[in-house]
Amino acid sequence: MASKKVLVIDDDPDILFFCKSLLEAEGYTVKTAISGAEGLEAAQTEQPDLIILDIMMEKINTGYTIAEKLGKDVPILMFSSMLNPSDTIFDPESVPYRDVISKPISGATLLDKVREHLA
Amino acid sequence: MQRLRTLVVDDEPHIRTAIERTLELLEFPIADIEETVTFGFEEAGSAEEALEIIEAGAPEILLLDLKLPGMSGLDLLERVGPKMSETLVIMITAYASIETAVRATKSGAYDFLAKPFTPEELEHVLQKASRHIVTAKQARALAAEQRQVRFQFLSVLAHELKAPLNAIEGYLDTVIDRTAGDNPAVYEEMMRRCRTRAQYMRKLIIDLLDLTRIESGKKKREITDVPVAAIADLAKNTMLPEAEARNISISVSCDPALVLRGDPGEIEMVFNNLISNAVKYNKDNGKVTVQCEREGDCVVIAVSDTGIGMTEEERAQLFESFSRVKNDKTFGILGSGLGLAIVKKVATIYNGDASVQSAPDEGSTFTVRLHDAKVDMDGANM
Repeated sequence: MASKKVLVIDDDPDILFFCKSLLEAEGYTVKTAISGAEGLEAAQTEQPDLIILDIMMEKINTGYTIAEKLGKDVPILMFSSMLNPSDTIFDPESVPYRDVISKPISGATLLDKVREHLA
Repeated sequence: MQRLRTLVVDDEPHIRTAIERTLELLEFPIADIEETVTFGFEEAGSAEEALEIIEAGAPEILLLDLKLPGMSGLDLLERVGPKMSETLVIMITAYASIETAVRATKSGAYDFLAKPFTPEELEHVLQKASRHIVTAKQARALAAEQRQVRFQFLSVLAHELKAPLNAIEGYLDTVIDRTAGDNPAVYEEMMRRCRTRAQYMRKLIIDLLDLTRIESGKKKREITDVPVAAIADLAKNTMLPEAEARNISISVSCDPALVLRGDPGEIEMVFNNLISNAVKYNKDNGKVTVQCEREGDCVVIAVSDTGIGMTEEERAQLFESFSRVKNDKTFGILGSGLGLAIVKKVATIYNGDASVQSAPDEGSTFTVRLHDAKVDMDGANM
């Protein structure tokens, strides 16, 4: 079976490198995008099995806008560096994300969540 | 159009009626700001009655008779004073002595009107009061806006400070737990990236201090004749190692005799940020050209690169704090997002401006115009 493909969208190159290193070591195929626009394009061309998306990129809520555009076909994990989940301004009902991973990201948590949502 | 709530407290009904008639017809344009005010009339025949109205909501103008049956005008002021911080009080009194005026002013009155008064006198007092109210309102709105801007800046700053820590913690965690497989080169790369992020975090803090220092205006400026060419060379030399590593040439074309009245530290910030950007966003084997010349009473600094350039859209917010162009070409180029905001701030202090011309994949030219700094009459540096 071909390895599962994960698309990571974050405007921080180090977060992309970090996720790529970890997920590739686990045998996943990893694609990265540094902006919301690139992410949307990659989601089309790469047809990933899972998308990991940072909430705050160019603007505070870029991540939500992107998630809404991506729709419900692919599971989405959100990265958030907000201290408090209640600081988030979105309505979980309207944004089709599956789970939130808080920054700083623990490698173990990242792998657990990816495994869980790709199972 | 602003309608100012005006509460008239007087025990003589005919005075209240007279005031009401004047107010109904009044309409003042406020000079300088395009605003017109009118007056909404409310009345009370006693201080007790007025108290109830004020407690439900303070008016913008209070026309208050000093001598009232029962509670006096001054007593009323003492009772509700703290609730009426935004209310202008105009005392009405039949005893127009200096002494009364002093007492009224001490208890918070803005102005006073001596009985009997003509409609013209009333109009005059109200015109003065309404101008005061409208400008005070504007000042409050401006202060609120500034608080909001500061809050937004701090929110973004917090995010910018957390970002490198997030990356560093993620890497350290991975290195310690060995969660990225068996290839030692990956872990080495992670440690190198940790170091780079820490260095840029320091740079962010230094830039932030520069920016705050310029904005606060409290830093003691040392205005002298700044030798522009020497400062440009200094900035060039700082960037030379990084430029040489990528085979980028930096040439400075500047008359050694060119001087600008200003603070050497501020001028250096301009050159440092512009040359550093021109190297960072250049292509390998590229060129950086720095040109400085005097044009009348200002010095024009132009820094060109043969780098990645920008689209018009990307240029739009370039000089704002924490706005960085993020695309596949700037991938991996780190910055504080404050450099050009600093350049712009310095240019503003020198009554100048900062602008950019750019074409994607061809390069950018940043132009900064600085006027000679002036020293004001008190000897303080402007």
